[in-house]
Order: sequence, then structure tokens, then C-alpha cells
Amino acid sequence: MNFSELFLSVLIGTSLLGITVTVIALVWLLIRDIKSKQLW
Amino acid sequence: MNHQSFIISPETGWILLAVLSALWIFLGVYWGKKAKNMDGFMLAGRNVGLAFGAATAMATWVTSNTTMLAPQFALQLGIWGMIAYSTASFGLFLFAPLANRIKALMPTGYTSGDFIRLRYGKFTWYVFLVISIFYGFTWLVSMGMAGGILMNAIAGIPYELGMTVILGVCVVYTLFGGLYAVIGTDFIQSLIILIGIVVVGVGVLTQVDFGHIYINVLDEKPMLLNALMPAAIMSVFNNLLFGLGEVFHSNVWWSRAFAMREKIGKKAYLLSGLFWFPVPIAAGFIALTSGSLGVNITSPDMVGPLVASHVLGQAGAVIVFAVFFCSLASSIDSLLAATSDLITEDIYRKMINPKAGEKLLRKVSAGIIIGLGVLAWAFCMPRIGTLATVLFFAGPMVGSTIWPIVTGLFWRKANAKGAMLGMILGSSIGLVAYFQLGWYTASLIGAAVSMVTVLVCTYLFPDDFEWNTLNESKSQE
Repeated sequence: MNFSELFLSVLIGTSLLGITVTVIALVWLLIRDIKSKQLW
Repeated sequence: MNHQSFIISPETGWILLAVLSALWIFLGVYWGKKAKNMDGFMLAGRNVGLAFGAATAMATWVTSNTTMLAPQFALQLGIWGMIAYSTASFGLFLFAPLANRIKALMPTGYTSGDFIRLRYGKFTWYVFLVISIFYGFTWLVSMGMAGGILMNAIAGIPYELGMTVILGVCVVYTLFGGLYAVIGTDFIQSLIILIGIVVVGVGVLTQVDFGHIYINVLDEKPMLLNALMPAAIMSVFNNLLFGLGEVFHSNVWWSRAFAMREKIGKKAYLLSGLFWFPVPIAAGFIALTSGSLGVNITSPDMVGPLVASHVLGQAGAVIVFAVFFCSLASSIDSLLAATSDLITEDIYRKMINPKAGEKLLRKVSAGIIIGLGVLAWAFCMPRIGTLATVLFFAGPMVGSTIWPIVTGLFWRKANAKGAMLGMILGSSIGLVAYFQLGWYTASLIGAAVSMVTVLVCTYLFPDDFEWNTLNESKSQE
């Protein structure tokens, strides 16, 4: 039994989208921590 | 290796190496000024916020092993291999509740060794230190080797020189900046790594579509698409447990739990697991496209850089170089800092010189960082085995620490006999499995043996541990 092409494309597409969202989230968290003076 | 496989000239490679090295050293020295005492140097002042906390946990876990081994996993074990590598994120997810518990129970703790010593006593502590330092050093060597291999594969920089520069740069900025430098640079490095992976992934998809990739793999290596490949399914559990063992026991993660502000640890580790999960899948996908792109794979652990360089060409070579440099540096600096903390705190301060003052400890810590760097360099010089061979050898040992750590943090009844026997039997039988059955069974068997031992000993010899013992500031009052 093989993984389907659809499964592969959804897996990869979701991963790339997830990483893009991560970059945005990290920058947002950084700005939030700087503003609230809770960076470190 | 022939010259055509280098994507950038050695001259360009050296310039990039110099620019990135100067940046990390500058930032290390700059942030290092914040480290006024040992709490600052070892634990970044114990006040790290969510952004830096989540980024440092994720960046440290995105090692060159992720960007190099995940493609290797995909090439050898197919889609299950990519998913298997991603299950290492469960180490971060499941460490999240532990992080808050660690901070609450040990507000003045420094290392994972402190916990084992206070919870289980000296003999278990000795066994744990052997496992933990061996693992940290193995990981460090595998990173150093990866650095040399990558610099050679991408820019034709001789293996010995590339490896030496990367180890040297990380030693210098960790030496000046301690955990402040490590955490600060981790944030920038994590952004560079993530953006680079997306650029490479999208770059691949602009050259070849999913349909073509799928049909090519189906024709050339159909087993990579097999949903029932036994070795690959076994590797899912093995990797999950290896990841759990690595994160649960290693001082790399404990030092971050101590360093984060109160109640931040849980959120930071949950986020880092979520952030990390897709990375090996995206990196592994690159390997599956090698056939469609007509890339000749000269060595399994170089599949990632070779495909990435083929897709991005000269223009994108700088990004590839930076991504791999960052993934190496973010792990090497953490390992240097955490292993040095473990040796300084657990061996020097607790065993050799309990009266040592802050100035002396800082000097000792600096000497240990340099010593670790030199020793790792000496082990890296002869290029031994593949990255997987080196890394997974430590798998059963770290797998055997999962149960002693978790039960020790949450069960009063967990005891020293169970923890010590669990680690010794789990490591020994796991290593037999590593040689007799295969690397993909070793962590699984090591963790299973340790679990049975800990549970049986907890049932037979229940302890009644007093949690306040873990708070040394209280117990010394």
C-alpha cells in the first residue's frame, strides 16, 4: 500500500505554510516582548 | 569530490564564513556584557521571555542533523522517514509540562545533574553524568563533522579547515557571551534557517511539480512511498523515544527551563515543538525530489545540500550556506554552554571545589568551553562513520533516562534503585540491540527496558520523597 500523491502534496504544502507562519509568529512575539520589556 | 559539485567557489565560501563568524562573535561579545555573574553567564539571568525562549528551543533542535539527516531519512525510509524525524518534536512538546515543574521545584537549580543528585543520590548521579556528558559530546562531534562535510560539499573548503573554523567561532562567542549569547544568536539563526528552508522548498516546487516528483519516486524507488515499510514504521517509534530521551535528560534543555521566566517554560516548549514539527518534513522532501531533478547523490548525508544547491544555483548558494552555518552554530553553542555548565557545576563545584567563588567558577567554565572545543576538534579530524552512525549510538543511553527523569519529577515513590538500574540496564540492552538488530530499534529497547525496571523498582521499593529537598536554597536555610 502506497502513500498517495495527494497525501504527499498536502504534507509538504502544510509544512511549508507552517514554517512561514512560524517566522511571522516569532517576529510578532519578539515585538510583543520588546514592547512589554519582557525580552530577558 | 570533483570540482563541479561545489556550488560556490572556496573564495566566496571563505568570505561568507568570515562575515557570519564576525557577526556571531560581535553579538556574543555584545550580549555577553549583560552576564555580570554566574547566573547571567550560565542561565541568562533566569528571566528569558517567550520569544527568545521558544526560538532558542526550536533553533537548538534544528541542528545540521535535521537539515542533513532528515533528507537522508527520506532517501532511505521514504515518507515514513520524514514523519519519523518529525516525531522528535514530541520531545519538546512533552518537556513543556516538565519545564514549569522543574522551575517550580528547583528555582535556584543550575543543571539536570543537580536534579538527579538531589533526587536520587550520588551513585545514580555518577551514572547519569557519564550518559549525559557522553551524549553531549557525541552530539558536539557529530555537529563538528557536519560542519566540515558541509563546507566541503558547498564551497570546496577542505573538511579540516571548515570544521575547525565553525567549532572555533562557536567556542569564541560562547566563551564571551555564555547563555545570553547562545539565546540571542539562536533567535536570529532560527529566522535564517526557517526562511532558507521555505526558499529552498518553494524553489524546488517552481522547477518540478508534485505529480512529476511522485511518479519519479514511484518508478525509481517505490519502497519510499510504501505506507507499510516495517523498518520505517519502527524508526517512527525509535525517533520519538530518542527525541524524548534527548530532551528530557540533556542539560541543553534543562538550562533553558532554568533560564526562562516563571511560567514561560511550558508555553515556550509547546510553541517550539509546534514550530519544529514541519521542518524535517520540508527538509526531507528535498531528498525525494533528487531523482526528478537529476541530482547525483554522492553521499547520503549530503543529499540536502546537493539538491538545494542544484535548485538555487549561484544566486541562492549564499542562503544555503547561511542556513547550514546557522543550524550548526545554534546547536554547537548550546552544547558547549550546557556541557560546560554540567562539568563546572556538577563535577568541579560539587565534587572538586565546593568553596569556589564566582570568579574562579567563571574561569573554570571558560577553560572547560575551550577544552570541549579542542577535544571535539580532535575527534572530528578523522571523519568517522556517517552522521547517523555517530548520533544514534547514543540513542539507547538517552532513551534509558526518560523514565527516571519523568517519574522522579512527578512520583514521590520513584527511587534511586529504579533510576540507576533503569539507566544501566536500558543502556546496556539497548546497545546490544543497536549492534545485533539495527540502530532503529536501540532507543525503543533501551527506553522499554528502563521503563520496566523503574516501574518494578517503584512497586517493590517505594520511596517517600520530600519535594523541598530539590530546592537547595530552602534546604540550606
